[in-house]
Amino acid sequence: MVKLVYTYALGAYGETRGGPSPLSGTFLLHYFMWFLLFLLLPTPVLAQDSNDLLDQYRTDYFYQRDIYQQNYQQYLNKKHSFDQYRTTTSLQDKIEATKNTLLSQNIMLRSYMMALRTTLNDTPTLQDSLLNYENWLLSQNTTLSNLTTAADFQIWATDFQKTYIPIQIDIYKSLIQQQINHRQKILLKLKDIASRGDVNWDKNFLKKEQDFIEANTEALSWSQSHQFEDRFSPFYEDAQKNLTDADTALKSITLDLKSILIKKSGR
Amino acid sequence: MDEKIYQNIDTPKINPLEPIDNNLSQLVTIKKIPPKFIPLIALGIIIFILSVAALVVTSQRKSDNHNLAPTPTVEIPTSSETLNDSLIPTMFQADFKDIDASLNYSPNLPPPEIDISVGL
Repeated sequence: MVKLVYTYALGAYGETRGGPSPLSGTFLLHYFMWFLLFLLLPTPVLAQDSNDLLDQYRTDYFYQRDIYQQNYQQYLNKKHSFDQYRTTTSLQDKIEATKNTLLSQNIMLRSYMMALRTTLNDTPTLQDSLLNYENWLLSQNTTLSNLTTAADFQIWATDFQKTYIPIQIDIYKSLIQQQINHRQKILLKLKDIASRGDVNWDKNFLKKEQDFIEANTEALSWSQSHQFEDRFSPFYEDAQKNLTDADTALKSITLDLKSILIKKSGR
Repeated sequence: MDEKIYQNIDTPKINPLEPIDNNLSQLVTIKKIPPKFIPLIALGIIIFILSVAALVVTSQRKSDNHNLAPTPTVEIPTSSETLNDSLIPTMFQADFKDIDASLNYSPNLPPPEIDISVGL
């Protein structure tokens, strides 16, 4: 005997045959939708290339920088008040302002390094190094939150001064490396074009390529320059001169390759 | 009767102390070149100079030709700072557009400036 029962099919009740119910249309649709969602969910994350990430992190860095500057200005005011009146209240205000400034300083530095890290996909060693400093800064904010006296802050600031030297070295080294990586990608593209255009690379561009490599190596070597124990000696400006030389060589190769291709095409 | 001394009228001034009036120059008659020949002479001189110069240049060129390589070895690019990108073969135009944009790219990440004396 066949008995008519109500089953759930495509969102509406309908009469079907009874017995052990097969997978209904709704069920299938349900699974299919979850499957689609599973497939599609990671796609936007994967589609975010490093430029999008850089934009996000850069915006965050600029925002954190503004906060730091506001807090720093407040710190200067409170410090001035304490130096003038030397009261318990003004001391407490100064300690509070110091804490806020240092917390926002660490957050700002961390957001800067996060942004910088996204530009270093080809240099995992520097990425790891920056990541370590980011984690260190995060842990320091936990420590800072528990400090209460001026003496505590003094000890912390003394330690920070020493640690900030290698942080600065890595920041500037990363900036140099990031520019070198960017230029090397352009050089690879130019080589690819030359290969497709049947242009002899070695015959036409070997000398300029050597100049380019040499300038990059010299730029990076500035990061190995001697540092003092108690202060950072800047090297970025010197490296910038070498990077400009590398840039000039690269622009010259681009221009020459263009003109050779034009000549070859007979226009 | 005293003898009267007469001076030879053919030699009225025979004083060796006085400079001899030399009129020999007057004897040489300079023959002036007729003006109609002057342009011809100038033209001849110019032709002579030009032919000498041509001879020198030709001999120079002949000696240089021996040093020239039979075929060019390297494709010499145009030494122009700006090129008309529309002349680049179509298949490379998009690539070069990307490269030109990349060459002027900057990450715009100014390093943070902090006061490390805060807290001291």
